[in-house]
Amino acid sequence: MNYSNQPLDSSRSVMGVFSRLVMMSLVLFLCADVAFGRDFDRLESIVQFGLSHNPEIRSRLLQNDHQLMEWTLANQLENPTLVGRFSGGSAQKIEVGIEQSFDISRPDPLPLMDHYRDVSRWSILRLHSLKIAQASVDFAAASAILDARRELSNMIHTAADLAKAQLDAGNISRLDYLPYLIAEYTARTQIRDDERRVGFQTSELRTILGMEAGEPITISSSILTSFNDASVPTAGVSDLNVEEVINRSQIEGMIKSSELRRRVGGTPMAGIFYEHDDGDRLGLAGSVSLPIHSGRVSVDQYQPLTVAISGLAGETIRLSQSNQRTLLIQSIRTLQDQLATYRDHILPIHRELIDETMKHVNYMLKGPYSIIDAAQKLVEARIELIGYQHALARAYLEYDELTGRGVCDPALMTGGK
Amino acid sequence: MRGYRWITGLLLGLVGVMMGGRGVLAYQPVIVPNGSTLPYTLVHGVKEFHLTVEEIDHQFAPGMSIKAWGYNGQTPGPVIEAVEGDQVRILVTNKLKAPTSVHWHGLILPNGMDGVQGLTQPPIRPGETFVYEFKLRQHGTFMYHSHGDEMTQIGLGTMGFFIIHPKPTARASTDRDFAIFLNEWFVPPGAFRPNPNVMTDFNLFTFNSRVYPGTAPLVVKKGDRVRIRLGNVGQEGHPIHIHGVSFRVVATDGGDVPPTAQFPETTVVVYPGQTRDIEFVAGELGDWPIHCHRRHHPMNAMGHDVPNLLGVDQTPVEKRMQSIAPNYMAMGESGMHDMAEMAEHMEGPENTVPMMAGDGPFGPIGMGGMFTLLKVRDELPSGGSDPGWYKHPVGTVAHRSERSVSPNADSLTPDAPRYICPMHDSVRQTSPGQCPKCGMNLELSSESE
Repeated sequence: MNYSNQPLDSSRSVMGVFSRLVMMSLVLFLCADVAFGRDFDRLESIVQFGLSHNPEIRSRLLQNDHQLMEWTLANQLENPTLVGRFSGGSAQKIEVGIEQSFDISRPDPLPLMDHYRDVSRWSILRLHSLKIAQASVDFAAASAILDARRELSNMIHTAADLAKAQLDAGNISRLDYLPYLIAEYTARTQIRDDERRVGFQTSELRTILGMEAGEPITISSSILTSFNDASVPTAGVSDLNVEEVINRSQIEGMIKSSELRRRVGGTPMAGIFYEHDDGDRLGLAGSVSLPIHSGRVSVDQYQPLTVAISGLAGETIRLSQSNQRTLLIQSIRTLQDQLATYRDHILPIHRELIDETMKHVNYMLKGPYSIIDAAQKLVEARIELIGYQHALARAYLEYDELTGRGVCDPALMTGGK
Repeated sequence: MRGYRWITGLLLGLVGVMMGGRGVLAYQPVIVPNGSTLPYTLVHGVKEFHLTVEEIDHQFAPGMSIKAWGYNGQTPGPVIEAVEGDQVRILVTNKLKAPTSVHWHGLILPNGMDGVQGLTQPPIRPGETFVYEFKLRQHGTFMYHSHGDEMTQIGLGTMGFFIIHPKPTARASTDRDFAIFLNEWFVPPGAFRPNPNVMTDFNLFTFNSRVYPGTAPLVVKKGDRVRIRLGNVGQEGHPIHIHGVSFRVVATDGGDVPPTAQFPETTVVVYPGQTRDIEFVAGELGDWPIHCHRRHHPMNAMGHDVPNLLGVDQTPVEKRMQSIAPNYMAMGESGMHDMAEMAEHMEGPENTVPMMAGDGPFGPIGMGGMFTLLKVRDELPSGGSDPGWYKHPVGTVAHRSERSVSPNADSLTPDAPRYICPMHDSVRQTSPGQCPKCGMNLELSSESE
């Protein structure tokens, strides 16, 4: 199957997903689940559970609102502006005073605060939903591999038991039997390794879902297979990162601010531009207006420079993301082809190999070990397939992280069915 | 004198035409089970035969066919029959994609007619026809076969009998004269082209390129003097054993064995490159096996790496095996007879004959490969067809004795009904139930009924 030309669903804009997640977070915020033990068969249900159930996420949302409110208040109420007024242009009459005033050169602050709050909430939910999704697919893959390894181990035990029966019957020597015994013990150690890996993944997942230690959790392997036939994303305008959106807003705000200053009074003002980083890469822009000329740089020189720097930074981010996105799309295509090869060709051929081997065993052309061997190869191929499914799921999630999409289930994500 | 010569020539020509038309033969014609005899044309006193070597579809037995190389559509090629003193001309047309030649194995003839590619003649290239012509100076059982790339060409079946009958009275006549060519093959189970590169581990052994139950029986009348000609250009020696008769080797490809040098035998080994003519009188009615006595030669395809499960109780692992392959059924615990019993119920690889096959009047015969039957009857069916199974006179067949001392039998009273697994003969009990090995319902034995 060629997955390379399947288009991205254009109806899924960033803002569409954004608003959906915000609404979802508000709903989930109010209805945290306290049931003990969980079975999940869809990625969306795991994410929903994690977002609503993990107190850390709720705390982060509250902190975010709190910080934004503090910042806004500080920005609005503690923004003293030294105003000097000149009359007649000759400075014969000078009035000097300190005024508490709004910086009218900036956009209306309240809608801006709402906007930043929503964006930062979206960012928090998105990042956590991605973490949940990643931990879930890691857990599902590790569990599926453990199941397959147990199946493999049972086959090795069967072969070893058969060899032991042959040894007891005097048909083979201990020399012939010992390799089966070694294989049996080796299989046990491999199972331990896989159990330890699943234990680690379980612990990680419990933490990120806000579950108690020891609380049982099962995830259907169908969350891995749900990615199998997802369409391959294509690069487009809608694939902008939230950070990039913020960056653009910031640049546009600077331009508007500059124009407004010129239009309002032509007062020489120096602008200090700073960024706020709350740890979640939330970029915020603000300005403090100082009516006193700094003497170092004029407005005419400073503002275009700031705009240019911001623009170049935005372009750098855009280029970097574009390249990463291209690489990820290529990875997704390759993984889907590899996965499809295993699913549609290699595994069916292995099954046919077992059937053909069985026919040979029926006619005593081969022995039972041949069946075990063929069945082992099938399971080993399934483990390879799980590896490709896991890698594909991770690639999709990485793509969604890069392009700023949210994660609920594959249908909401990039290339969802 | 010239007039006499003309008259003599005319008379010989008339005799030749009659012989060519099979009106009157100066010899007892050979019977070729699953094969045929090559017709000839008498051309100015010369018996002219035509062989075409080509790739053919050949059936080993119902259910298994191969791509072989043979002569005139068959392997072994048709038997060339002639009489000592005949002048023969043999045209050989090569329809293979490889060069070939034909060696007349055992014949004493001019060196340039010996058929050794590159040594005594140029190769017969694809599409070419070569002519061989020589006088038959001897009698006996000889062979012809390819003498170019023998591994491939003989390995795929380019061989046949060249039988030269003696002049009348040179040898005691027989009532029935059979020819059986021995050969071995390696055909991977499920495949259809023999692998000519195999040198030792063959998996199919044939009489006239057929395996049992695809081999035709040798049907004779009680009291017949029977000759069986055996030839071998394969890789292995075959000790051919015949039940129910004592025979003598009366000739080899080197000539007749003087009566004083003959001694009674029941088995004769025919090595590669040899022919052996054996003779006996069919004195006992019945169906008598003829088979190679190498144990795996009267078997069909066998796996060389099948583990030895004799005496291995697979019950603990059988269920687990069935979780891997649902149709798995443990076999081999008490030998290979399970195979003979179950073969017809289980699916095998495509184009493969079960290792042990064939049902007789008393159940599975469990043979294959180099196995056929000598059927001795009071009267022969018309047309030489198979008379069917021998009907034994009452009281002449071995039967189960109630005086058995086996522990299982002691636990059953003579009149108690016996329920037996149709798949596992060793599973018997007095009441109905299921076989602990395969789960099938036990069946009431016919003896109990």
